[in-house]
Amino acid sequence: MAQKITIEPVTRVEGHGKVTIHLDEKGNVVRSRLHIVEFRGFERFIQGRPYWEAPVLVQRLCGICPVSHHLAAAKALDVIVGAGTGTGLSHTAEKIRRLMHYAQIFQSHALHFFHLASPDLLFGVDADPKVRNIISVARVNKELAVQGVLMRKFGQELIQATAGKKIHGTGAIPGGVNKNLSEEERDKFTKGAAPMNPGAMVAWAEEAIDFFKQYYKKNKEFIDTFSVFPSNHLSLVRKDGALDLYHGNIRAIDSEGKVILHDVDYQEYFNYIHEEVRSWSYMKFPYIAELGETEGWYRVGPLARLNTCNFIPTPLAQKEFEQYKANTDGKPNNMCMHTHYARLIELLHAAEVIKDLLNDSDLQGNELVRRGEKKHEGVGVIEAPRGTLFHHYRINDNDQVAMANLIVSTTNNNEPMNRAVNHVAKTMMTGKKEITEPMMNAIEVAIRAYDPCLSCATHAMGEMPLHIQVITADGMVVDEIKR
Amino acid sequence: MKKILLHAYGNPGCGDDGLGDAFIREMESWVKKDGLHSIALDSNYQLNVEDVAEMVRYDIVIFVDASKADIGSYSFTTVQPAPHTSFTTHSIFPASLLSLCMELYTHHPLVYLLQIKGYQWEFSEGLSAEACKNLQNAVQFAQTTILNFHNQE
Repeated sequence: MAQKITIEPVTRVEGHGKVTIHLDEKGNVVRSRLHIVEFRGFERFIQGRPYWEAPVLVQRLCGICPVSHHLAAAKALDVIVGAGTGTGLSHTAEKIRRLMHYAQIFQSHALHFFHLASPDLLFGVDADPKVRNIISVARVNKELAVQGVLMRKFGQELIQATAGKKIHGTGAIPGGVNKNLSEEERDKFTKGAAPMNPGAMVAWAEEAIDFFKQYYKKNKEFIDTFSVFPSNHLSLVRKDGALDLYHGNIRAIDSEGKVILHDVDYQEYFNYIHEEVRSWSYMKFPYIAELGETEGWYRVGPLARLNTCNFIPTPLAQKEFEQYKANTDGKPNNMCMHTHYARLIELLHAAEVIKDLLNDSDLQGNELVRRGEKKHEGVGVIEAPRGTLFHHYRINDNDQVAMANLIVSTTNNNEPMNRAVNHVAKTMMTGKKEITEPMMNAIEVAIRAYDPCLSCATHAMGEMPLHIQVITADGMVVDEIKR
Repeated sequence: MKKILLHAYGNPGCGDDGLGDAFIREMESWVKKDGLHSIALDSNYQLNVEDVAEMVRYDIVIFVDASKADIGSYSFTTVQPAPHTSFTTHSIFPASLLSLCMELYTHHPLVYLLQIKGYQWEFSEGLSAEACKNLQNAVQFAQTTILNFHNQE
């Protein structure tokens, strides 16, 4: 009798994803799927609204990365108000936005490392989940936990200084920003009492990388072999090939490093990236059109970004990048757990960028907005913490949004997450009919490496606990776990 | 005089999930009008780990959230520490924040949770009519309760 295992989260607003693992009569895993069963309604919600409201409204998609949606929408509307496609803003406006964005990257990556990854690393992925959390980290390594909390706080305060309120942030507007950063606001960060200043943040980011490298040295086999599979990789890169999380062209490479999308203009993303709909999930499956649905899927996020870029344009992160690349002899890295390593290098890069920007007098400039010839369509793309984020809007003659299409980072990672679950299931589940704790942990760790945001991907707010179910070929549930 | 933080969370773009944020806006005018300087107000889409660094500065913290549960118009409960955390970075709960606070600092505030009953959670702006009534009931209750806390030595 064939079987199916389901992992299903529950949320307050009923938005959730679940994982099903199907077994055949002999107990072999035949396929695994990450299902998203939430109604996808945000694009319709925004239709008919005045276009200039979009950067504020889209923040309500996600409580985790509202800044990324805010900026991606603003970038799309820059095109519509004639301010160009990423290079037409004033120096002040672009640098304020970059500061806001890198603060978002910094706080989000810090949260992932200290809240989710460090418990796995400190206690082991097989440890009791009741112990594997930030509160236990605080108990056994208070310094690490305090660093995590204060790094988050530093990033969030920078966001508030540039974007405005925590809810309804209005910093980025079509064609620029609505305020600069005053000297007084800047000094709060640059002359802040230790440790709440950029120098401390850089130092702590370096310590976080050292922490991971120590773990890697002791657990190399696990880190190098857990959920490894070849894939294409996609991200924005700067014109000179540098890592740039705010703006660039789209580059994609295959698992061996061959370039398959040659730094294309994201205004035409729809010519290169198509989205497949599958009956069992509300989350779409994007793919590179030229390669087709089967071969064209790709990864986004920290691992992909460090595969596609040629270098990192800040010195300390570049040094770490060189060591990181040496692990794969300069070839693309397809090792899932190295995503944590890549994320920490980006954390350091973000801290360095923030430090440099805060010393840039352009932040106090007064030219905040530029406009030009109006257009009816625009695309904004940004590298959000979890990966490439696309916002595409078309407006009508009444300045209302007529069409909106969003491809969020977690949607881009849909197929890789499905592959990761499948890989783990085949490795650990074959021949077994019951869900064991190590198996549950492994599936959790595999999905979590991508730091998925199902609220974002399904365009509904919610939590994402975990629920696993084993179901036979004839539909009978034979085992079930919720976490 | 007790230092009190009112910290709401929820998404105002998801109908009644914006009850917390609406509550803070109601309380803001009351706090200003009555010059209650030791009462601080905050609102966000969700609770975050760094909120622990803020809550430790107060004697009393009242978290405010919308609720689907069958609680009548609102409910007001004491929060006990519990180290439960979510699978992803999406959320941390009041009980977990209190646990974290107790691990990291020598002082921790008294923590309460005010839940206000909501009814609709789809993408939409504004509260449902029933949620608005519940909000007014919760505001009245909170103002009385907070004044009692506030005047305690």
